[in-house]
Amino acid sequence: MARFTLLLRGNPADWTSLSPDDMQRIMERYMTWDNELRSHGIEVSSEQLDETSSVQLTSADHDSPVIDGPYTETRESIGGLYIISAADRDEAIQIARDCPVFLHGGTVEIVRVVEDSEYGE
Amino acid sequence: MTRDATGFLPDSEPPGPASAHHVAEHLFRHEVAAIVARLVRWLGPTQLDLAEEAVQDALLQAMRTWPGAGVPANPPGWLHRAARNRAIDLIRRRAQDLPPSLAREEMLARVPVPRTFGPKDPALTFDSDETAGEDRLWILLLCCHPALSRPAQMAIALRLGAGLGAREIARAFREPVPTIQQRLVRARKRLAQERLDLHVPADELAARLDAVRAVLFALYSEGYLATTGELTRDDLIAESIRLTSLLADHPLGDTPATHALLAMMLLQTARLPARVSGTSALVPLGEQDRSRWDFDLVRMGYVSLRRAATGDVVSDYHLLADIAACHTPPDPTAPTNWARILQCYDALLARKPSAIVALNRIVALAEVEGTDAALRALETLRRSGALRDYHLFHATDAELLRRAGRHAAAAAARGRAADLTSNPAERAFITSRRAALCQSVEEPGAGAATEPSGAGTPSLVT
Repeated sequence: MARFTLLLRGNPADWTSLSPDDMQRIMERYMTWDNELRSHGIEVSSEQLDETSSVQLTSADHDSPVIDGPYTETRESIGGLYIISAADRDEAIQIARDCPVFLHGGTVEIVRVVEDSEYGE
Repeated sequence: MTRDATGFLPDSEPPGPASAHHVAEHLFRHEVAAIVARLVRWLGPTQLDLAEEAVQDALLQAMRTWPGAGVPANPPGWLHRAARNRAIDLIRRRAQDLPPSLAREEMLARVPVPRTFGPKDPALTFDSDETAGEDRLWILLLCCHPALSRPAQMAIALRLGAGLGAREIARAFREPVPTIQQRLVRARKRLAQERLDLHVPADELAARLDAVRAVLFALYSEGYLATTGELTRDDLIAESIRLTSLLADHPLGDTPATHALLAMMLLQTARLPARVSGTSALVPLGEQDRSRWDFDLVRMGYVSLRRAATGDVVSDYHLLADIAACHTPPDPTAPTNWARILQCYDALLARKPSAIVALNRIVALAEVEGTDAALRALETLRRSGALRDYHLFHATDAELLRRAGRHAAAAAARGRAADLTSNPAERAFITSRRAALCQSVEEPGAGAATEPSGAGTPSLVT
């Protein structure tokens, strides 16, 4: 088994066009998805992130932060972070396909975690 | 997982399992209206936009935190508190822009002492049904401010009073989502310019109540035949009946027209179980099994009808309720009184010309005077061109032609009808060649939503 991080990206501006019923449905889908990952022992850990708060530092201007969140309407930012366990990349992709982020126009970036044991071999 | 054409998830998505994560159905939508009303009462009606923003932010916060942290013990209380905190936050941020009469300290002073929420507060009365209902009626009256056009009143009232989103309102109005979004923005701006008052002036009350009834009628219509997706939206029907009965029970709204509107809703809804078959297909009026009516609703409908029959004003809703009553006689074995239905449509048309009402009248005409008379009336209507793109016009045409034995022309009309409808269940109904005449012309909101004066546009034939 390997560990993969799933980075869920959404567009904060999209949220404002959702109706209360839409928002509740999406939230319930996240709850269900989260529950399923946990109950199947797939989820290792997860965090919900406030994408509107995101601040990005770049090497060019690292001492004067560029605040990305509220000012960039079109840019996607990371709203959730999951670490899951999966046999391989294909299985991780299969798991990510059910992610509710796709219900509101988001994307998932899947990256494998390099384990300490790999260095020893 | 796929997104539908509009980019949102379909309504039929299964809910999550009932568990510690369970959230009451439509909690967000119901609380939006209650919280906006509460915040506006605290902060004054000039803060309508701030209240709305605070509520939206509170829902977002719930959306972000509840999946990870779990649903709080008292979800409505959590939302109320989050919205209130957010409102205070927004007031602080906007302090410089506040009207001089509402200095920041004064505004903050008007925010009540924070209450505690959750299981430690068993006497939680924050959102008791009584005051919440009163608040919601009051928000509806506020949204029906005379400075707004009727379409703007309806859009903002459905947004704030019923918790619908722009997409859902667009469906009810049969207009593009961006149009509705712009209308909402303009309505908010306009309301912000008005010196809104907590008390509706007595000389304005009648007009505002008319507008509120039109809003409730539009809400019911959208539920009765949803424009996309499933056949009916029971939640919207329930919501419109709930609000209308609140209005009918309130001293302000306790008028014959309100009772007539409620009677119409109850009688129409009573027949819904017979209108939709077990396989979610529409059942033609003539084939509907009257034993499947909800007879409790029939009784309640007639109670409202009697309460409507006081005074000497006959509103459009009286005529619509009368038509609904003809289709739902107290004795379900009694025949439908088509002659009286025809009279009601004649009366509606005399009040206000409407192509949709004219189309419905033709259905009654076919029953009373026969197919030929109905086809002649339909030709007159066709020449007006008003309903050229309305699927139910062509469905009616098809059925009348079928009855007249003109099968090729009927098939062509049926094809036009199927091409024009946006509701998949209805499309299936039309193409299934079972489109009985009466069934094919029912769509209570079809005219009302695009001509939101609420006057005489709906068709209520089944």
